[in-house]
Amino acid sequence: MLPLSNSSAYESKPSFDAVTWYGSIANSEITLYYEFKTSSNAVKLGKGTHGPDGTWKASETIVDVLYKSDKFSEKFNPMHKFIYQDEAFYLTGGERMLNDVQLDFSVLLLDADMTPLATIPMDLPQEMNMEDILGNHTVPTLKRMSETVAVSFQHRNETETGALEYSQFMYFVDLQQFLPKQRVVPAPKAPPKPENNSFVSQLLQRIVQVVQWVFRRR
Amino acid sequence: MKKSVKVNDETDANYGPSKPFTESDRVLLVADAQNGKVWHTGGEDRPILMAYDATDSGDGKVHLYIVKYENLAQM
Repeated sequence: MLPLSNSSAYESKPSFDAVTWYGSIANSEITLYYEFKTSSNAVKLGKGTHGPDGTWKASETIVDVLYKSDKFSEKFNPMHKFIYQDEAFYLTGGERMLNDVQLDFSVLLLDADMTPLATIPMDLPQEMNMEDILGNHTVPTLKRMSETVAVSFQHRNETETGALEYSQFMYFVDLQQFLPKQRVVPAPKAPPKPENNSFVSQLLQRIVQVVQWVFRRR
Repeated sequence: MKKSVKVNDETDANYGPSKPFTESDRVLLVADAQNGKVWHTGGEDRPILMAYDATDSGDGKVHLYIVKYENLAQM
């Protein structure tokens, strides 16, 4: 169990950010993100590192400010880190009010500083009659397997009776259609055909020139 | 917090886009815990870390926990 930091009322929803493994938890370096509530009831995203010396050092991030400026609730669902072209990004679930009435859950793409970059639309299978539902997606994860990326997310649906239903989806994306295409290099032009300089052709050419000369003199 | 397992469905008639997986096994990992996340330190024969949160009976507050499983089979 990790000790509460900064007089937290609770600490929950941990996500691994990095692990340097040395055979046991006690002497490994483990960095987690987690949600916590301060003594003044503010909900924040914390970052804590368990050091190889067994210490636990935690700090408070300012991600709640970034979320608030983009009108997302200060609730921090598990983060899923991935690297794309040497840059770190995070997928997570975000919550916000639509039209000040409807709470919507969406998949958020965050940059390395956890600034929201975009909400990612997830298409649901049409045969489930859910195509009219644009949001309520959360808990995204991403895994690259060779040239295929597997994206998993959850859909939250509230029935007419008020019961909550959760469905889990997994999409496989073939990167081949998104990766840069191999350039099509045009075939080199065929060299001009060598002139036929045989003796016969030279003779015929000379005869033609003589005939043309004779006709021009007339 | 429970672990559900469904593997090796190649010969199962349930396999297919319109036929959902069926649960074949469910194992209790940690009682009264939630929000579990795992980190693989290697392949399936290498240790797996799991972070989760649960209420501590001592102070009644929700804390973070990290546990280690020696391999996937132990988990």
